[in-house]
Amino acid sequence: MVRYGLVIDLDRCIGCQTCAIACKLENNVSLGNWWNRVLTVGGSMIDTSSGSYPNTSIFYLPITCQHCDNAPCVKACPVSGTYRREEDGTVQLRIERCVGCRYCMAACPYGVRVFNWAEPKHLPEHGTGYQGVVKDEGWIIYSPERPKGVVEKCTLCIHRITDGQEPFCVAMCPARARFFGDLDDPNSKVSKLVKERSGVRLLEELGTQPKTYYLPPKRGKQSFTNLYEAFVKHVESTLTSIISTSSDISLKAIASATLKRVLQRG
Amino acid sequence: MVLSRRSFLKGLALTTSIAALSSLGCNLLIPSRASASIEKMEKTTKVFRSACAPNCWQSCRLYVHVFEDKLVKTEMAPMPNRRYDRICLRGLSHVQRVYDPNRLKYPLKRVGKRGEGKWVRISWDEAINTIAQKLLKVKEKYGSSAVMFATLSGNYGLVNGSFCGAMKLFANIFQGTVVEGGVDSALPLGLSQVIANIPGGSSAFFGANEAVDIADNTRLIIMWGSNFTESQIQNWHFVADALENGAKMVSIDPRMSVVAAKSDIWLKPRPGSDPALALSMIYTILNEELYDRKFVLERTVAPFLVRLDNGLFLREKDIKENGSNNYVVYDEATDAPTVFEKAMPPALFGKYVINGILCKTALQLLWEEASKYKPENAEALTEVPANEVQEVARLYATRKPACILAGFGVDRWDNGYLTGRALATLAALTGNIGRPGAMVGGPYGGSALIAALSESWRWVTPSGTEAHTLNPLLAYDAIAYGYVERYVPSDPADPLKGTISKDPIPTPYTIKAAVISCTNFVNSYPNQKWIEKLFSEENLEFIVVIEQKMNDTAMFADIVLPATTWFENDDLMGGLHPYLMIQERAIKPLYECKSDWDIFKMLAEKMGFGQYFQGSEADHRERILAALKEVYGEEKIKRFKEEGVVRLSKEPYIGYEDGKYPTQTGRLEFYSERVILNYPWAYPALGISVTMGVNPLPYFESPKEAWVENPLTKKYPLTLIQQHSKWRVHSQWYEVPWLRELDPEPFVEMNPRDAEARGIKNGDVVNVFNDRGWVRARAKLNPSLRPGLINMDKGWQKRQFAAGSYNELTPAHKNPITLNCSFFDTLVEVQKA
Repeated sequence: MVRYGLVIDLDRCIGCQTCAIACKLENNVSLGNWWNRVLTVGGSMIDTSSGSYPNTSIFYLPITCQHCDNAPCVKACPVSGTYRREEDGTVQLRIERCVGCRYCMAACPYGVRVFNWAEPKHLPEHGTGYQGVVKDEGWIIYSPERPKGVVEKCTLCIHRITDGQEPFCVAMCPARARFFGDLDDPNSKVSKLVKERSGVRLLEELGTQPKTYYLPPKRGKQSFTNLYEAFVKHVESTLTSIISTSSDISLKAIASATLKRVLQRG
Repeated sequence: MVLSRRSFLKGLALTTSIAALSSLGCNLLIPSRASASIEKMEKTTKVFRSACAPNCWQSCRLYVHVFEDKLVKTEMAPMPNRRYDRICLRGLSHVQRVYDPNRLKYPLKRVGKRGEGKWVRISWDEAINTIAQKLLKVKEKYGSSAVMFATLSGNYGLVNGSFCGAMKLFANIFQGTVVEGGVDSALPLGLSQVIANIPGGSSAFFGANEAVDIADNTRLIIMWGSNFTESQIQNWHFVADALENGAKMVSIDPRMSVVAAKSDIWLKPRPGSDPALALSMIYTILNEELYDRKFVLERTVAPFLVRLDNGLFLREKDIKENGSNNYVVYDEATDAPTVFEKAMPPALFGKYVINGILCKTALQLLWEEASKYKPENAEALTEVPANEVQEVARLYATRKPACILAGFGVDRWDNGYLTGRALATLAALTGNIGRPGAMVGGPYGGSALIAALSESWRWVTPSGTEAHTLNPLLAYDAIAYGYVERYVPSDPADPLKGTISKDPIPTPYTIKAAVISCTNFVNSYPNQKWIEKLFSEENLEFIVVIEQKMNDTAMFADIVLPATTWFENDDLMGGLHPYLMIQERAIKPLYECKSDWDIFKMLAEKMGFGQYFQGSEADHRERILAALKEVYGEEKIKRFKEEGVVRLSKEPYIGYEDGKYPTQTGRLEFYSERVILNYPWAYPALGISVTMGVNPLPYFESPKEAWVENPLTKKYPLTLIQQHSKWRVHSQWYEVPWLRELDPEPFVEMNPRDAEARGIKNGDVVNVFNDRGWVRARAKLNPSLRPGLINMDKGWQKRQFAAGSYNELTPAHKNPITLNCSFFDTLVEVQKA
């Protein structure tokens, strides 16, 4: 089978945010929302380091949907909205089925799903990026519409990869730090990189079987495990905000359970 | 029906269909099937070829997607050599600049006081009539050169842009004063002093190897004052490739930049001490005999004898009747002086008395100068431990080929050119120049922009007349005082007689009106409060600004003209890479905006010289291509027309690989008989002779202001630099929502220790101030900053600060050699607001 995944080289990544902006452009993401982010692994604010001069450290961690083979969001969805596509292993959303319950957001241990709380705002108003709709077995799984009350996330640019193109963030990365391909093909660039450079995944111990691999940095002073600080902080703030702003007891319970698993790594 | 939450809830009942997505315009969707289950409904977009044209040096080729006459996407377009494919976060956010609701839409006339921001909309007719009248009036009263045409680097387009576009053409016909430059020129001047110091030289920074060469060939990269991963994002992958190929990387930077964090070795010099650090390395290389003896003999002035009585090179005529002008060396085999060609081999070091004239070799003199900066002694200046300097010097001399990628972190200082001289000297001593993988400067050799500009005289002076060119720091004086300080040669026929004086002298010069395009002058030059005074009604009778947005400069206009964006123009541009690229008009000009070409064409027609502005932008592009065809041949221009992109330079481009250096001696001159100057009006053709007392060698001079010995440090103990961040290019992109979501407001970045000493916490509002001005913004604590050093990213507009503006703080020092703005040579204090 084909299992599409991403490989991100943390030595080549310089935190330039081009992937994050590329995603906004291509997918007409609403102002204020990010499907694709680059976290600073350093100080508390973007582009700051940790430590004390001159013993300081900084690197970056790009995160987006990990397209897990064993995706908690798929299990949490009560309406069969979110699903894993057997043909390519990507995790997609049947937009029309989404009821905005946000259980998938609460179940996701990577904090990469976003919710449209309001009617979308765009600049330019006529929208940007890909001008089309993608349907899977008749269900819309990509559209430039960003309706209120719907959860959204990275589709791995399903409109591009089904045409043999790379996801836009991969194609636009000026550092050539992002790679896309079939993880089931041992001869693919991604498989080789994972093997040769000992690619690792976030929260592997949770059994989610994510398909985003990171090539751990050999440059700089931090070990790969240090990036968990920044990553966990991000997940914590996403889940805490769900817990604190919702009145739905089930939603709170799912988010609390996810947070606990993330903090305990298991 | 537009999708709403309700329609999605209905979706539960499995009723929603594609028809729900009405705003897509379903009749335009073209269905296709990508796999068994996937079906697509796509709209057809038109794709145009263009290029991103700001002064970030990266010159990305773009594909521009247009749907129903609206720009919907810009993306990376393929280069002939795909390794040059490039883009960044700014190149992907053009849609937000083009459709920025705050774009200037119509011509505006000032109705309040100048700078107050009160405007009324006027017609193009009224605007052009007024401008023509005012310019003629100033010309009649003060002469045509009293109109300054200010530009800098805001647009690389050859038809509409800064360097040889419509305004330059107009200014040349009008015979006004073109005010430009004054930035990015100290480091290049210093490098050129050693590598390319005759007229038409001065290009060493941009004349080194092309970027791809780094990836394939270099074994050591020294990032010297270069924030490469922030300001040169598009070339980083070449460096990353080199590292994967086994190269080592050293960063020399007082800040721990991201590139420093990725380096094998990081040296942390005291800001502004770089010339001393480089001299320390020079000393180490000479002391440990790590220099490339063969290269030094064949390619540098090292063996030339220097007369100690006047500092000039000893010539054959000095020691032999009817002798030639050839340089003399000391032949070790015969123990006698002789012309270079005959020596077997010449002495590299030593002191000799020849015909009663005391002489030393140039290398001996360099050695003596460098000996003042032995690593253990220079530590007091640089604060870099001696063993670290020695380690890097040894690496540089032995791990060859090696590159010094010098950045403008060392340029924006009063002593910036001295760093350039010392870095080029390091390359000269080790032979790390003119070879694959070896260079000093920026990786921009073979640039199509520079190639095109060197031919621009063919289309930018159609009337046979030319504007004067004036450095902005000199223009400050012309506007305020009616004079400029210039060097005047006593005998242009014999430059080695030097100039009238070692220093420039005031000469009357009047500027009374300003036409400004492709530069945010008020925001981008130092001492903003002073510029605002210069732009007052008592100094300038009339100001017209051509802009896309109401920025700090447009605010001071009497008439503002709305400019098109690059995607509304027909143009072409050379990159600071080897490719010439077409810029096709992708959308019609929005609102009432016009291109520079159309604006100056209207103005020229009104003023009676419309014959020089025949046809459209596309017609002018054809004229430029015809001129380039004369130099580069029919084949290249044909390919350009077919493919929209063509390489102009040889491939690969290795700067100075032929061993020919455009210098007085034809050799690398770490010792020079004259010191070149930066600008026209300062007579770069002459330079200042060593007989006038200028230092012929690389040496150290402390920064003018931000230096530990300056008593002002007691009052203002912090040094302020301006990072050129990824969020803007100079002051462009300052109001792009996607970027502002990540970088929402200006910050004062400082080390937590400096903050703590002042009771400042992360996010506190602080005032940054000195005697020149102040600015208010939030503090952002970052231990990457060296204690004592603070940073404010460049390019925010005044109204984006809580109060004041960052360039109020910077000095308008005039270093007479470089006339380069020393933005970083700035002392300030910070207090909690």
